[in-house]
Amino acid sequence: MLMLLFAVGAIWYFMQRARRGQVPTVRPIAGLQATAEAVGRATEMGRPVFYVPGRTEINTAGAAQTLAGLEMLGYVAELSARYEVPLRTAVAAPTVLPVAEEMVRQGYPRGGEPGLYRPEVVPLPSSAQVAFAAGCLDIMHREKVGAAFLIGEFQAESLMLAEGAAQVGAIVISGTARTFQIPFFVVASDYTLIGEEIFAAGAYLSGDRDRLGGLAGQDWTKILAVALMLVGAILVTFGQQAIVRFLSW
Amino acid sequence: MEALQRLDRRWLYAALILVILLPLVKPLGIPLRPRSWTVQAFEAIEAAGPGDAVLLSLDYQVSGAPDIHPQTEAIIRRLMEKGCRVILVAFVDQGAQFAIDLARKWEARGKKYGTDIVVLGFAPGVEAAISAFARDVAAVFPRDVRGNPISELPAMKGIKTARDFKVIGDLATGIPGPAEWIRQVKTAFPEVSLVGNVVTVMGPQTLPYVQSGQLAGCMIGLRGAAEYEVLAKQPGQAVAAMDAQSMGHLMIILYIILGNLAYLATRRKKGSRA
Amino acid sequence: MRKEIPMAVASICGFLVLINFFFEKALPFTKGWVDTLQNWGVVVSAFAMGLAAVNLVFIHARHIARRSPGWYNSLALLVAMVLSTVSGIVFYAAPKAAWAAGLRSLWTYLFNGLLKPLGAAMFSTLVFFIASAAFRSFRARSVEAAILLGAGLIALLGAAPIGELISEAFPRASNWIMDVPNVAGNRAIIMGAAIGAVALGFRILLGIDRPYIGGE
Repeated sequence: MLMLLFAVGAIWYFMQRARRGQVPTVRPIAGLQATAEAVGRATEMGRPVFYVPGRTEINTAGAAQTLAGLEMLGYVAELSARYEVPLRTAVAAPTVLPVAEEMVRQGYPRGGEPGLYRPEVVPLPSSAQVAFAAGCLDIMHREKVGAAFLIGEFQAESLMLAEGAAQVGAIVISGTARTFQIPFFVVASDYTLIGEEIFAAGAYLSGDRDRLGGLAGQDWTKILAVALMLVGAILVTFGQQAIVRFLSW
Repeated sequence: MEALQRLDRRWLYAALILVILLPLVKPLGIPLRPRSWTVQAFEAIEAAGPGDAVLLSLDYQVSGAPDIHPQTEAIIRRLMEKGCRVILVAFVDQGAQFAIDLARKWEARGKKYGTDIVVLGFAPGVEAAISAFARDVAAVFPRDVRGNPISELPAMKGIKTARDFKVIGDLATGIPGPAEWIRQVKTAFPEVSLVGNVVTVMGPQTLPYVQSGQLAGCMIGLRGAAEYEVLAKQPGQAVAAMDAQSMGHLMIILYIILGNLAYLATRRKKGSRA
Repeated sequence: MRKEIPMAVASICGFLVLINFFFEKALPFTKGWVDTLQNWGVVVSAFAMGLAAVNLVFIHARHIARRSPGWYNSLALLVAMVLSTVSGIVFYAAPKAAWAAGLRSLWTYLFNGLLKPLGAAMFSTLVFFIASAAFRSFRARSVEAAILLGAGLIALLGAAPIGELISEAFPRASNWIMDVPNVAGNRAIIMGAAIGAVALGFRILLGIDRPYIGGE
């Protein structure tokens, strides 16, 4: 609970600082910087953009990744509208479907093209894993997508989707915090967002002060966690269990 | 070497199919040594004695079944041999059907449904359902999959919460998986013996939980099933498939090497032109 | 009120679950409320499946009506959906009724005879994607990529029994890679992702982020 309170306190503190004008600087993240480039390249090729915000429900532990993927979907929808390039989004989870539709429906007016939205832009091929992967591969190969964004929580279908997109010549930007899928994305994608970089995406792309401040708070929490680990490891090496007992309390 | 860069992928696929099929027809007999995390899983499950209730959660879909269903079969075979009560549940829709098929299979082998084996069924809601189930089994499953009230089933006698199971085994291909069971069950009931059995690709992420003690053990993929069969002295379909897996791995390694040789040759050629 | 009510519901439910997690012993009455919320979550998930079914019917019916390319696949999907829904409901709703035996065996046939082999076949195509990725993109383009490549090769050889046959060093090296750098890297990413999730949850609880109502 103390760690949670520290995390919340740090996030709140840095959010307030950002609101007062002291916005933290975020290091360049290649995958996020390449987002506009990818959509632009799809526009030049005259091919649609394809987006998958993960495969899990919004009421599971992977919800944070799904929500991060949906945040970025809103930004990509806005870019797609601005560049007037078609966007295709596939979702696998029924609870994600209405949220994804809303993100795309609201992204288009921000990009200046509210009339571009159609319900079939956000289909739900299937909730089953391989049926969903087959549906996405069908969309990618049939429409010859020019850019593919795979941001969220994925399972075994990650390599199918990334490699399938690469096979049609699309630029692939992927990201997940599911550690056992990261290597597949790293190998098969052009850009990969690793771990919490997908949570930073919303802040990074929107430039919103609150979210950027929150990133600084997260980093200070990580620093505290690392400090506790180092001090704890040293103490345990010398037979002192104080930190272990404190954290187990 | 540069010609390799232009090689039609279908030749690679054809060679792979051939190399994987051959050992299935003519086994090579490559020896298999169980790894430490499988031994831990085996010992945790062996702690269940005659009459003890063991819960197996079949949280997998048909797509991952070839990699993980052999684990389920191996575990249940051993538990039936020991005379344990096997309770099957699923928090993934398709898992329930695997459970129903297994119950039918063991009934045909002379085991009594309701006494030796029970299928509670599927509960939607993933982690919320697991949490609710762990706190009150009957609230989530008042009846089993055949419509019997669970209070009337001898296999469910004395089972009210997750702590009443001697061992809980989660067999997962994704979500929910060991992490969800640890969060919802192990955190609330630390005394529960929880074994996490996963597909091969989830292995690296599951091992930290074994190291930290949150999981009593872990079986990973088809090899995990083969190792369990070896430990239980009941070699079966998993052991038989190991030779094919070995040859498949060797082919992938060969493709990686060939791909890199082609890449290096192309880079050298570009370098000599510049 | 269109945005305020969902925000209030999300915040109240989120804080309630959080308070119950930390203060269940001090505030035992919260347990009942949280259990009820979780049961409601289970019910909502079940209804969300119905929503997905409606979406599928809507989209594929349009394909059939417009005779879009591949419309017969949409027809096959809708027929399969109806058959499996009807036979599945009967299977669970009337498990003991003799009259339902025919539909139950249809359900079993659809699952064991079609879904299982099709699912296994689709999943097994993953090996071809792995082969393609191994040949096309698993290249030592940089020092980091070379390290990844080396670790991958050792892990591959250590995972299969043949690696042990070639040399005892492979499974030992593979186990070391799994036990030390893999666990360290996993823990770092898991912790970072967990803190990121805490931050996102905090913003959602306070209503700063509202992705559940479309962002803005």
